[in-house]
Amino acid sequence: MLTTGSKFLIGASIAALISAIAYGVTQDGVMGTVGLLSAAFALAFLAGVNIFTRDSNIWADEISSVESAPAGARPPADSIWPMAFALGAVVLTVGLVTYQAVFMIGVVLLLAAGAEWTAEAWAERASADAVYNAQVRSRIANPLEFPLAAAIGIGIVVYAFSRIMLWLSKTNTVIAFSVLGVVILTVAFFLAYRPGLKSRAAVGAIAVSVLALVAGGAAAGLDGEREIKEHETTEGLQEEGEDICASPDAFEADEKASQSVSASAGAAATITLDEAGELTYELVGPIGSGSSLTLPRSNPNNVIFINDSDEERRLSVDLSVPPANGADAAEDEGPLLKCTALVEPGGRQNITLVIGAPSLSAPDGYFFFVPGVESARMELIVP
Amino acid sequence: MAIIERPTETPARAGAGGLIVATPSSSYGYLRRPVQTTGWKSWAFTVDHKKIGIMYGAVAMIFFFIGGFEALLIRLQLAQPDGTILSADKYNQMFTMHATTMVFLFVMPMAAAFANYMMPLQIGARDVAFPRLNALSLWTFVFGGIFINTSWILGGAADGGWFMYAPNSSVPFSPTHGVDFWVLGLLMTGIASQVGAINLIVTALNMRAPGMTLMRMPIFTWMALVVQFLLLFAIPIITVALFLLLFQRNFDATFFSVADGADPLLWQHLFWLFGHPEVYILVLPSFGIISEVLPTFSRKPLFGYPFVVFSGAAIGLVGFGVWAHHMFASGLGPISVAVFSVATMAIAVPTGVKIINWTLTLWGGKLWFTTAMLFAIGLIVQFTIGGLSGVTHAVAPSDTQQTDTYYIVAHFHYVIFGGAVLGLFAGIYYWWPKVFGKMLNEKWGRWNFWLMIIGMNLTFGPMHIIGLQGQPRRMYRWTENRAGEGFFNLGFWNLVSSVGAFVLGLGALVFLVNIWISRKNPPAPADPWDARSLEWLTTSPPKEHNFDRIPTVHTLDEFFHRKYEDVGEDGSHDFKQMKTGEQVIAEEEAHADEHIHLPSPSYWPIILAFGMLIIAYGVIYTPLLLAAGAAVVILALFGWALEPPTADDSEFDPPSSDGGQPSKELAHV
Amino acid sequence: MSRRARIGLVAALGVLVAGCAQDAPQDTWDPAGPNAEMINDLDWIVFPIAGVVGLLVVGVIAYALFRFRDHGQAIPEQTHGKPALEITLTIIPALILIGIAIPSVSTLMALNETDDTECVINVTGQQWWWEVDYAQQDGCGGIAEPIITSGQMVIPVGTPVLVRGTSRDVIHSWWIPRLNGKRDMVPGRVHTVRLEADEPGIYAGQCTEFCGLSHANMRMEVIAMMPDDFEAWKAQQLAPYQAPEAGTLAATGEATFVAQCSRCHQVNGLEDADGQPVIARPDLQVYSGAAPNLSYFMTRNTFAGASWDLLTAECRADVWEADAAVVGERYLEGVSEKCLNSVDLREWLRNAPAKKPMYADAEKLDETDGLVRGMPNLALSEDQIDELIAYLLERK
Repeated sequence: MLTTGSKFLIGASIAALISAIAYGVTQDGVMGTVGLLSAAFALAFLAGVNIFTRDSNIWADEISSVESAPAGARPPADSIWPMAFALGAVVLTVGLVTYQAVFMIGVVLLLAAGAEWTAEAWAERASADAVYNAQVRSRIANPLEFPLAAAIGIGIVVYAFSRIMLWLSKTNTVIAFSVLGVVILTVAFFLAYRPGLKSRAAVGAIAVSVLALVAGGAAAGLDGEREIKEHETTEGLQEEGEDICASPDAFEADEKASQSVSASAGAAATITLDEAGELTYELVGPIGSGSSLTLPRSNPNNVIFINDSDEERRLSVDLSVPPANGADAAEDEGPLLKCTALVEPGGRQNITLVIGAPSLSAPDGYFFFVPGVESARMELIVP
Repeated sequence: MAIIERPTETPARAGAGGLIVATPSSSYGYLRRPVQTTGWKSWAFTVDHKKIGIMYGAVAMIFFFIGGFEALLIRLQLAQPDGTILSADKYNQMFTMHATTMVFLFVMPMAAAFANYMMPLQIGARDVAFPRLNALSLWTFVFGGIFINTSWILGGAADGGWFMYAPNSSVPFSPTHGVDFWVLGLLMTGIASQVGAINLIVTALNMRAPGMTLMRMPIFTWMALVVQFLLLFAIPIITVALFLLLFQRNFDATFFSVADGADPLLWQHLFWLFGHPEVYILVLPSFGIISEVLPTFSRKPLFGYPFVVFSGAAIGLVGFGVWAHHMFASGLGPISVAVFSVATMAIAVPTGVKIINWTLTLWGGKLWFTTAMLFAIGLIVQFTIGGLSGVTHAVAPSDTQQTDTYYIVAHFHYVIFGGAVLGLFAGIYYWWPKVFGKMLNEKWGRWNFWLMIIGMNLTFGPMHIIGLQGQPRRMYRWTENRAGEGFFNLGFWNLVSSVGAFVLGLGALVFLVNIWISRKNPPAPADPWDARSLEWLTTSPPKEHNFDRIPTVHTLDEFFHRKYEDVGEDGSHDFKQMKTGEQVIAEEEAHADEHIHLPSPSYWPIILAFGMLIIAYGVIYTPLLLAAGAAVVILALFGWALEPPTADDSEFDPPSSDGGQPSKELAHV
Repeated sequence: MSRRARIGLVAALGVLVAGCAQDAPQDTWDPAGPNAEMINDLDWIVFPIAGVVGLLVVGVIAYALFRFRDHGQAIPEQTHGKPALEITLTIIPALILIGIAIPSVSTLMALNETDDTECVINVTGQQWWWEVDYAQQDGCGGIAEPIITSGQMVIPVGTPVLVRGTSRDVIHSWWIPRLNGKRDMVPGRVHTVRLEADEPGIYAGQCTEFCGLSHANMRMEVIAMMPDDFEAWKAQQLAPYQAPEAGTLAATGEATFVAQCSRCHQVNGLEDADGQPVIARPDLQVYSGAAPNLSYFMTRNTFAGASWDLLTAECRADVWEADAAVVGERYLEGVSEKCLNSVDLREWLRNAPAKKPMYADAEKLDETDGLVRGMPNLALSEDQIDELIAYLLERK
């Protein structure tokens, strides 16, 4: 009753199951087991499909009946898949000697063409009825084809879109996005307003825009992304031994970093370097300014630095403390200096400070300073 | 388990001596498609919107009693200062789960039960647009609800409150798996709601009987439709939020970690952007129900039908623009607060329109005080109180005194219990004879109503005082120190509230007693309430195919106008009953349609839902389960896609392909 | 209105008034400062309107239910509504709401003013207590050195105070009902709320944003006192450290404190056996990175998130229920040995998590890198507790 194909699938499923058990017993980590089990399930599923459909539909063991059935006599229909399969093989081979990406495309093409070819060949012989066979193919293949095609389609569109957005400058992305939104709304309104046009015009518009998007994405992707600058505070650089925070030298910073900080509404303090080279701070409420700023300890304080001087400057803070009483305290100490990236004149930047130890544990206290400006110094009190 | 539909035209097997032609074999018996019409299989694998509706309602009722039990424990704890019934940890879990259960596992599915059962009947359809998706909604909800509640025995339930504010919901602050269960369970019930919403929208827009324009649609269906649109747009928002939280907790994401530059208010915005439409998702179905009940028992049409429809739609729309009134104390800044404060007041207008219209529906009527009518009137009064206390905290400065106190607890219980739950009970009493063919006992119904009304006012009324005099919510204990002086101090009112909770609980139990007592009632008349809308234009309970003949609609309140005719002359009106409901129904039966197509039951929806359940456990415990669940889901997806909508004749036992009337085509008329 | 109805209304109001608790410490309808007063004035517009509308609706419904009950009348006219009436009845509530919106927005703006305040106090919430600190400033009558305390905030009467708040872990909410509405304190953000008291007194409050296990045990108080008393309080909070006399129980207690408590709890000026200043590093022990500063512990009269009294019941009444004229003076006396509520304090020192639920069990701290949330059980002996109490009694 079972055909060779079913036997093969059942055997492969059992083999995968045994390997999964063997792997699970002998190896650490579950991912291999999960993979093999999944393979076993998938193979068992295919075996089941095979048994319950082809095997039970046709008396496959009655060779004569199969041979004499119309399905056996009718020549196979035209098919694109052998060609696609071959193309996949070529791309894969080319990929081996050129780029990994090409290789991956080849693999995907090979797999997809193989699967489609298999489904088609199987469906053509499913029964004697050609119309029915076409339905069978759809039923078997569509549940895979539709989600995968949708995922790939959406992926391409999103990727192309992201390339374009990364290629444009920051200001232009906003404009492009607004224009795009307006265009979509207008087109949608137009289509809704003229229902007679609907289907063909909509398909045309979508096809054109998708093509334009993909072409634009490809072009933008080849041209490369715009320059994206660092905008983190420089804890990481300290560890690499670069004494960035004590230096007034250049360090590329994203001039719009502070705009992304929601904290600007509820910042703990705003510190300004004025034209005279003095640091002043501003808080919400009546405490205007003074020689020392008080911040609570152990919580994330968002401090905004505004550079009103004529040169690019950064705000640094010295948080040096000797090791605390605890034996293991030394290793908990963070970097001693923290700072913003270099801020252009008139620019602003946020720095988030979590300060564990009170300022009285530092012999000289904590202080803010601006490298390269002697007079810019302000005490930081952490009670 | 017919994975593949067989050839529709079986190739003829040639006779002796002729060509031997391949022909499909019969399928295996144990893998046949479910076709039972009785027994548990007829329920588990059904795609009939009526059975699904009943199951939605039954499961929701079970959760109602679970949630109610949690509420009683909470009130028991708070009856005395420094209560010791529950530990702080258990208390926090209890109020989290009480809200979660009542909102997501009782009111929403109960409304879904009515929408499922009544919407096709009210628009003259044979079923919903996607019957198997309907079954999927049901089972995903059921498994999601069970999943959340298994957390009680698997290390503790979620303890962050149903609003689950970040960062208190992050792992360091809530180290048990409770929040994970909550997140995954709500994702499942969210899938259920989203699938159901699409299904019912398509049903209401595409499957109305001939002649039923949108403005002739019964008002309950209208409100249910608005709710489905709200769900369609609100559920994706909470899904995004839940995914962020899932990744924050399980995959080291930092969406809400302040030290990494995140802002915890992100969660609040996402949650309330869902959470406020959710309020209308809860109450609008009940508004729809009582807009059916009040006209029926006032013997006159709903006053200002278009106003009620459009105010419902307006509430739905504006409901998306007022979410930040839950955040007046969050520090948004005065400009945002002012905008949202005014928007919130604006939403009171369409709500007020509804109350005015209900009152004017009563005005000039011929009122019949059945239990359903009592619940509907109860809703108007109680919801008005809740609505007015809502206006007091639309005033943002006042809200900063009121929010997170018991005053808010009082407010939203008047809105949700007084608004949503009373309406649902009105619907239960109104449609019980329709659904089960038996009346509920009216005497016990009155006990049910009065105990619930007294209970709810005793429970939630004093909370106004408790809250305004300074007792915050979500505290597992309160102290004598802060309760004030005098006999009527906060301790007294807390005790009253707890007593009231038990009265309310008793009222709910009376409902169960009523069901039990009424189980042997004689069959109900076909039109016990002299009703007005299309769902009564068929037998009670309706046949599997709902209507023998798809009715043609000529007017709003079609059923009423088939029974009554205006015999007044020269502009005066005088309605006389020309036919009884039975006669109208018999007329329809006499002209039954031929060839009624109904979809066959299916295993796949419940299997698919079960696969999701396994995946959910897998996310928490091990990738092995995850893979197993995924395998089940993929299997079910394929089975579903490959399965023809109607079972093959050979699946029936005995096969019924003799002649032109296969059983799949025409259910027994 | 008929006479009977009028009597009924008066009676109902009477029941309502009598039905409320008297002197509830967190009563929102008993404002004690201009900010709460503004909100209360608004309430007195909104609540009566809501009440009248409510009575009207319920009255109309009740009348309709009586008048149109089924007493054998004919089937009514099948009218679908009267648009003119509908529109009128839609516009009326809209007008009422516009009437409410105007004062409510203007009050909102007034409550969010910050520039006219004269004293800034920082509060920082964490599970499950509030830290209060006074930064150096010219306001508040001049603060020369930062003052830090917890659970209780002291403010001068008649001075508009600006509270700048934030949080160290989850979201908390600062609420002193008799002085102003609440404001959430969100980690990473600084939110402000105005406070001003008209009369000296102790104003109770409670954290009102659910903040986890012991949310119910996170309270706070604001003590308003006359400016002179406030000056005295500031001096008290900046007094130099007085080491206990050698040989006393308190002196032993100092050593016990250094050994057992000082890793988290700061006492300003405390020195260890080597003469080195003892600096607490709660950030290495506690998840939120802070523990209350105990330098002037006994000048406060509540502890553990202001959830328990440091004073016995009689002594508490002497301070809390004192007349406005003397409450500041009484408060400044602090906690004496005679008045100490040693029952709760001893229970606390014996096993803190048993008294106030906290995540301080060492076995359950995988998710917080071993850092506790709240005070752990230190397994102190009864002798150690005696010594610590003797030492703490001198912290004022």
